[in-house]
Amino acid sequence: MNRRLPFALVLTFSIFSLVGLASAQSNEFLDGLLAKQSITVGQTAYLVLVASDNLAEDADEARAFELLTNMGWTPAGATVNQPIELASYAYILMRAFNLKGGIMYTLFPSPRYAFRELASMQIIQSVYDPSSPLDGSMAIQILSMVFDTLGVN
Amino acid sequence: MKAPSRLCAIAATISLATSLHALDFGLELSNNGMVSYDSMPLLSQSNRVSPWIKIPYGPDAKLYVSGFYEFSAAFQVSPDFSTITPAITPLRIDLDRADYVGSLSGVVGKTSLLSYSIGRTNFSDTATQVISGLSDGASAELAIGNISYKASLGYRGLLYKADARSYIDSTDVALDEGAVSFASLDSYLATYFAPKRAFVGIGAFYTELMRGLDIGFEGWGQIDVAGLAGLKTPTHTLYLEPSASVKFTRLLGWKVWGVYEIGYSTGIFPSFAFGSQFDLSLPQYMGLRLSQNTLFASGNSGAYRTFTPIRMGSVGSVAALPFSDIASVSFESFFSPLNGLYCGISAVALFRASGNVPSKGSVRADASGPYLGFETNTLLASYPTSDLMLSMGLGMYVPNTLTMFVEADSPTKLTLSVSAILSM
Repeated sequence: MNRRLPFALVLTFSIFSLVGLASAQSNEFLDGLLAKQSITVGQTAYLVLVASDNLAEDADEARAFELLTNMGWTPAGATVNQPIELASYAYILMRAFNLKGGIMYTLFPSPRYAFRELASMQIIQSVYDPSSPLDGSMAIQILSMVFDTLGVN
Repeated sequence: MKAPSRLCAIAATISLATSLHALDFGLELSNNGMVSYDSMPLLSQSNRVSPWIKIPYGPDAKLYVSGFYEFSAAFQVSPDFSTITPAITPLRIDLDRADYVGSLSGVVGKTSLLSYSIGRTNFSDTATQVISGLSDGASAELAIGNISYKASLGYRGLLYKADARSYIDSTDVALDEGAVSFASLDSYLATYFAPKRAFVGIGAFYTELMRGLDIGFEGWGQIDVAGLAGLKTPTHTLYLEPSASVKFTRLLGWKVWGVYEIGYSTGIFPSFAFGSQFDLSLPQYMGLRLSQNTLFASGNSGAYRTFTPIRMGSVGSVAALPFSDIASVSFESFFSPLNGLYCGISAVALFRASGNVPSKGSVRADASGPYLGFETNTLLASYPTSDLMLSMGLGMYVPNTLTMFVEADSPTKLTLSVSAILSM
């Protein structure tokens, strides 16, 4: 029973984090995202830009993608419906939340070093493949970890 | 090229090409400098460039290959600072960790997990006093519920001899003490690499046999390949290692282990080693961790011979005595006073395990008792950024000149080391 206690605490904490995050974004969008096996660049743009207060909640994915492109954070050659890679997601998070990186990220800000930064912060597990696609629940979980790191409710 | 070889080459190329999109790579630059002083100052410096690549094969397997180029130099300065004797190794290139690791779940029942690694990979017994570090070979671990089984097979003759630390018989010691010769390829190959020894290991481990109690039992065998080939008198060894770990509370634990070695050369010779470690964590006090370690390795005494593991460990970092014919009692503490700054303070008292002459230092004619000396170390490590690590260590070894060593030949030894590692 005692061995299950930490797991129960983590699960409860994760649910509260997700509920808190959901209140800031469209429930419909988040419900749809949780069901996705791999999320697109457009969905990522909407998720992160709304969460970082760079975009209003009533915007759509196309507008979010356009804003992301204007900011220069879109993966090279990416389209709105293309699945996003984990490293690119890390890069968008780093830029959107203005996270401080190490020497290499400061000199060469890129998905490669963004992935390593979030791995060093234990937001992303370093065993993951940086070029792998990520599903919706993982994207939200990583975003909530960024919120925790920043102390954002 | 024969057809099977060609097919293998094509399959390997396709396999590599299809996984290259996921390839990750990097470079690690490290700089280590050390000043040590006993009767004469010694300055040493080494720089290492270590490239690595990582290729994932699905979510549960990956290939990791790393190597390094190293420059190292040491300068022995005379007591009056009039002469400096340099010893420079401008080039050393070698393979570092290079292994294919993966895991398969549900191999034997739903709760089972099979983990494996093949290549130049890490091998270790529970105590890390029989074997540790890199070797060439394969290992697998099958976990079924609370029980796990491990099996290992490897060869150590392709490792650099100073890394392999193989001192099982006098031929090994002579090879280790000889300088690396660049006179010819044959002499280079004969002087760079470790003794030709292979090993096999098996073990079973039971987690939570009782509340907070883990137990394990391992057997390791070392095979003298050169001896089997008739190049020398063979020295084979077998190690039996029971171990247990107890968690008294979430923060206080105790580990204990023992190794019984049976060696075979011209006759059978037994030896043994044991150790225990108490660990106490007090995370509310700057992440404080305290540990008390006791180690013992037999010497030539009575029916027993000196403990000769597959890879020789060392006791103390300044004295750096081999883990053979020695006993030690040490206390260590680690804490983090500031975010990104880590401190370690340790003290160790060293004793000989038998009445034999210690392996280092000039011994007094009237030497008595087992006490060899004590050592203290302080380490500061800092991660100013996620990809840069800076560290500084200060150590002191005070030999026992009252009852063991000749005072004139055994001065107190001080070391100061600095290190920087940048991961690119």
